Amino acid sequence: MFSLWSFILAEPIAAIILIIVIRFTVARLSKEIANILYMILSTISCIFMTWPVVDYLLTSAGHVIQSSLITVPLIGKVSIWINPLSAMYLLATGIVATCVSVYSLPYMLHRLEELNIKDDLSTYYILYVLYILGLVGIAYFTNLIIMFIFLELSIVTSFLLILYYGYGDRLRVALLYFIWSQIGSLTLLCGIILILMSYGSVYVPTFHPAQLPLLAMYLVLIGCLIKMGTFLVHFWLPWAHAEAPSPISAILSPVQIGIMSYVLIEILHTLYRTVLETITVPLLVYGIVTGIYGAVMALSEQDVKRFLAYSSIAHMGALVICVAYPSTLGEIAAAVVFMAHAFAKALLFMCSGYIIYRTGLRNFSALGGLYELMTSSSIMGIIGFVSLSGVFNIGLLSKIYLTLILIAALSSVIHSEATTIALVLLYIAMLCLSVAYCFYAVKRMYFGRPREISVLPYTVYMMEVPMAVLALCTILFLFPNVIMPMIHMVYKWSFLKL
Amino acid sequence: MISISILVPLLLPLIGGLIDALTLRKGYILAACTFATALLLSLALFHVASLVPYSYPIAQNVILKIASSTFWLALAVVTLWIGFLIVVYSIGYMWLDYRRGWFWFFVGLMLTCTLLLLFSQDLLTLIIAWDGMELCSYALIGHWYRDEPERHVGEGFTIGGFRHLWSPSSAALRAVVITSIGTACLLVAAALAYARYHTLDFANMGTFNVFTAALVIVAALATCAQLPFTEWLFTAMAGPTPVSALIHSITLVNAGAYLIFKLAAPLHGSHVLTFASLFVLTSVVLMGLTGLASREVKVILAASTCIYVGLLLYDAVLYAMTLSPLCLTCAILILIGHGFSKASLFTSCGYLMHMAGTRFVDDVKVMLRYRQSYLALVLASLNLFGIVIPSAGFLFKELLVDLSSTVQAILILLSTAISIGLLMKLILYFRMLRREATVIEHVEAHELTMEYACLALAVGPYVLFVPYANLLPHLLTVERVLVTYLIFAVALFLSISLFRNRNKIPQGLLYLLKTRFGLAVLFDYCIASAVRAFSRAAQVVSTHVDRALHAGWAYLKAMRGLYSADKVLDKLLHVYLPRAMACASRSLARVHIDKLLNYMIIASIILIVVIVYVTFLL
Repeated sequence: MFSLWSFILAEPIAAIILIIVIRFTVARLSKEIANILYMILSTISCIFMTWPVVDYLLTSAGHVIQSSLITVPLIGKVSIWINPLSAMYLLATGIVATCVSVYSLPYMLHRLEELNIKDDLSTYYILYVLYILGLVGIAYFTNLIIMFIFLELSIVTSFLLILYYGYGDRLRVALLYFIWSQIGSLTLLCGIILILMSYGSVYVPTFHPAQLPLLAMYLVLIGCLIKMGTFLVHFWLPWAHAEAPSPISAILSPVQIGIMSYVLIEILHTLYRTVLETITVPLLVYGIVTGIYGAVMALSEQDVKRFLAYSSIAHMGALVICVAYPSTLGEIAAAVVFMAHAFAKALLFMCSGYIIYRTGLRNFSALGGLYELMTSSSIMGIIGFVSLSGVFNIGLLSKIYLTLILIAALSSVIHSEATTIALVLLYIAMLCLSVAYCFYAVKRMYFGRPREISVLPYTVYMMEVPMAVLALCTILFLFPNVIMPMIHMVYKWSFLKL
Repeated sequence: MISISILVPLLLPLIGGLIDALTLRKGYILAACTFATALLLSLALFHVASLVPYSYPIAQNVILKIASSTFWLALAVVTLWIGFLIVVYSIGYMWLDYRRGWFWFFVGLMLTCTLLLLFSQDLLTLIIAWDGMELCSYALIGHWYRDEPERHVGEGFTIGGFRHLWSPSSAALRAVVITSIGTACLLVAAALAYARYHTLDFANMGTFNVFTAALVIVAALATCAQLPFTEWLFTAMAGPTPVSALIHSITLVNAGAYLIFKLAAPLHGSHVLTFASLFVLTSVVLMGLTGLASREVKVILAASTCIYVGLLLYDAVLYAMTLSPLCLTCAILILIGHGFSKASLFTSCGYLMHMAGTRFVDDVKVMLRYRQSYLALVLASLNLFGIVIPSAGFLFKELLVDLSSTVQAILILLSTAISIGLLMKLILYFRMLRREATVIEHVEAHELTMEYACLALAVGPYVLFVPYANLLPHLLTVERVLVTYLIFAVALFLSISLFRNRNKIPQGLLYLLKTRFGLAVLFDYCIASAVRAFSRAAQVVSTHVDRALHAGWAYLKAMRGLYSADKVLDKLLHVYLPRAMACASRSLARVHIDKLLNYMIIASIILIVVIVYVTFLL
């Protein structure tokens, strides 16, 4: 049996070394074969990084597995763990990353051609593997400082990916993204270091409620919110997510920003369990306002990718609602909302990328009637929108959990009837707006008379199959037999913790 | 007795639809599956087979439960038989359609979701089924995605710059957005109940407070298409006819009433109910009136649907108020009476319009050949008029009147009269235009199945009321029959005279009704513009802030001043200072050391002399 480390660290690094070797051997003979090999290597390492989680979900019964490497003075033990909650986050991340890895090959070849780069895809895939490694590292590592290092890895690699392959004024957008991300992550780091100084440890599994400086909590909270791109600190998000190449948007938008909610849960729901309740109400209001703001902005957005980015902002509002109240239900709600959003949003970014690939268009006013022209991918797009709006598929489940946690939080924190009713009405408006913008987009993109658009006449299966897998995931995870065992495990784990 | 898992009848339509969508796309497999399901459920109703409940634990006190009781099984049986006939009808209707796979899949899913809703024992299952139905109705209303002008709905007149014409895709959008208001309310109500009682089981929930009860009622109003949510139903006509029949007779519109039936115990005793019952009946009368002014066949039928669905919802509210088992019987009778007849009306009118190639009542000109359809139309209308005594239509109307107090009874009778007016309009128009009708000789086999499906649907209410015939002696009194026929006579007289003088009706009144009291303008123009304006405003503000932040980029460039200052200092420290030092050092180096000493001695002597002079002589 291999240890967790070989799956999570050794394999990706070996893959990167292999990619470099191929870059100087096979690529000299044939670029096509080399590109396919890169893709296979990157996909395998994505699968490897997810495999421990799948294995864990299939075999374990709610207890945590852990594997330590070394103990560093001052920082503490460096170890990997899988708990039921992180397993849900990691599963969604892994599935999305694997699909995107396959999808990238045709898309990035097309992008390289557009950018007039003569190189092969080795740079892209090395950065991609490192990027995914950074993202899974955030959820895998027990030590907050190490987690921060992996967060930085993901920021730097995604910055480079936007810089090299982005659209529009990509230098400016990449810098914008980088600066905002650094502000967020450095604020988070300050919070972590304050925790290290006052609590004496940043080892997550041993966290329990304690008297700690409030400043640390606010620093962590604000840092994560900046990284999530919620209302008023969101300005970088539409730029970065819209101008990144579509496969990278498909990771950036749901996973990179959503996983910060896991960091928030790791810190706030353990160390600040009691203190968090005092700011639950402002956080709930903030979450709902973010949701409404994102939905409203999405309604009148003309650019498909910017539209999707605004919808991500709306979903970050939902994640803030889940995190606002410390309870097991909230953690489950956050994981389910994250999964639903990850599948649907990645699928939709891939769809928009596919539309860009085949028509070269990304503007609602220029699209329309695409159902006629590219039926199979349109059906997947519609599935994505249905899930995103929360009308059916896993989105419905996330909507149910979100409502449950919101009402549970309201009824235990607020005692005035009028405030509850006002918040509930705002929340209903948020749900309706999210349905409205999703289906309005479906109408604008897919229905109506087909326009005079020149479409590439062939189907690219390498792009459509990963999209179909994600579409299937959104449907599959609605079935209680698939998702409920995971939720049961989270419940059991929370009992074990107590 | 055979034991079968309840999941089998539940999933059969979905599987059938899926197979149909992926293979032949003719609908045969879905029809077979629906038939099998209907048969299975009927067997279970007559205790030949038993359905084993399915339950799945989700969390503490939350169990996903699907089980059947006699009442729900009876409703399911009626629903499925109507569904089966509609599917048979659609085989002909969809014969040459361009999106058949889509259609069959969603019809199958719709039937599955309806069954799931009927058999659900907890709010979670109910919400899943409810949302599934919402999705299916969205998909089916927007079936003709190409938005051809002949598929539009609305008469196309313009009032206040707003054109009353909707394409299928916008009709679908309206349906899903408006019903989503109801869904959101239902979700919140469920969460409130969960927060209070820690369970989602219908059986274990305590009484709801006013806010929760109001949310449940709003959810019911939204899917039952009562005020102020009626709009989606009227434009739902943009879908194919079988879809209208499906949505209007058995599926989505009834969901709200079923919800109230399921939640009757927690709602019992709530003050909201009395208000709700009057509100629903008022809405029924008002929405029925709007149909009288319409020229579109399907919109007239939609108005009539509003009436009967409103009555079903009223019956449900009544049940929640009184918990009287007669209300349950009444609900089954309404489903038999209205479901069959409305499906028949839609299918027969749809067939006639399909043949005539129009959607306006005064354009239908192909009457002569299609006697079966016309017969179905008349039969179904007669049932809904409630004048044929051995029929479900008569029974449920009288039972409902019997159960309610005076004000409500008057409103019910008024709504029946309006319904008579609506259906008479169809009958009269179709009949009058017979002379100039075109004759189509050749009829395909699949078109014949459509006609017979209509007829079978029309006959339903006259047959299926039999198990409830024991109610007749109680309801069949002289004054009741007299009142019934009096109302019929008055309504008939009024409709014929209105039909004769149809050109003399004041235009203002006509347009008030045609715009459905301005509801269309409210939803599509006022609310939509408000949201749009809000959205634009947010975008403008956001863009400004974004730009201001990007101006930060410019400020960053302005930092060049700092940069140059930095450079000057840098040069000063690292270039000029070393250079100056070097210079000084070099010039020092040029000077001979002994000479320097001489100079220094002379200078010190001079200095001493000066000091001595200054201190001693001054």
